[in-house]
Amino acid sequence: MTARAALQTALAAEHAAVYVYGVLGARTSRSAQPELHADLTAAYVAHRGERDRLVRAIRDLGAAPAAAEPAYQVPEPLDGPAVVRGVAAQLESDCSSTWGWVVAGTEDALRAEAVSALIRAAVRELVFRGTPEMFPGADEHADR
Amino acid sequence: MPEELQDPQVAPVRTATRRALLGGSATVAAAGVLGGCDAGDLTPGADPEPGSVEAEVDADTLLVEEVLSDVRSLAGWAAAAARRHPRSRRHWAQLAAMHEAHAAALTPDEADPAAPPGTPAPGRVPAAAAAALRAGRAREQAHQDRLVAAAAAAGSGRLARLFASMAAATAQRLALWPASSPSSGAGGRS
Repeated sequence: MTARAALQTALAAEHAAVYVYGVLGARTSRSAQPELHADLTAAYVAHRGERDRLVRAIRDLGAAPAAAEPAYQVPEPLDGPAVVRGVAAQLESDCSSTWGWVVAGTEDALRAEAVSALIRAAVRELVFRGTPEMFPGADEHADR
Repeated sequence: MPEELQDPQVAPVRTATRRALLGGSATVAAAGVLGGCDAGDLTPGADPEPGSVEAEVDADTLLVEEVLSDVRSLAGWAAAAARRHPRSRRHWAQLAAMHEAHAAALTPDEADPAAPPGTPAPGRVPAAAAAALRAGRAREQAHQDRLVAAAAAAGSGRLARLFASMAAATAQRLALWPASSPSSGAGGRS
């Protein structure tokens, strides 16, 4: 697996995250759940930034960035803030795992950026999950 | 999402040594809403020359030893802080548990993850709870920075990923760090 392929996979994950956060934000009332709405908005903005960084990185490697899909699977029903938080936490956990994979498959500046992205995803997951983990993005060690 | 991370092909002895350092098998969690990925060998760059692979393994061995020493020291410091400051014992105990889990991940399965005899003491914990929190936070932030550097330096992709994960776990702890002594009732995300 080349670094380019690893970045394309990460980009696919970020496209999905942007889409899902858009859905979660739309389903959350800003007046009734102001804190949750603000957290979702911040995460949405953050993932757009991750996506844009990946698009630039892939173009710098001389490749065309993978396009977003028309739609992505979103767990249903999203009936209540606890469910929304759970979906967001799982989304960030999946992103952490993806970035962990990119860390393993890249070197130098690309790896350094992937490490930073993994850390950012783990901290965002904490916002929605509430409790820290032992090995964010490296689930094979989670049982230790 | 690839189901397995695989290191570059090396001689069996070297492979066993590298895998022993990390313990267990590496699998990537399947993405829920994000869909699947193609499995593949995550070899960064071209296959290395045998001589450079040996040097890479030795460099990674030294890196693991350095990080493991750091982690053990932090675990000891957090445990000492838990004993010295019972009101914030839960915070320090959870931190120590994280470092102990990280030490275990860096230790071959057959070895004892605890610090070997003769390991230097972890350092003095301040008598005041607030000072201990400040000092502990500074130590953890420095540790996160070192883990980030170690992830960048690791020759093995799997080892880099482990270091990055440990850095992320430390970042989560820092985000939850108490703002002041728990006896004042303050705390939460910083």
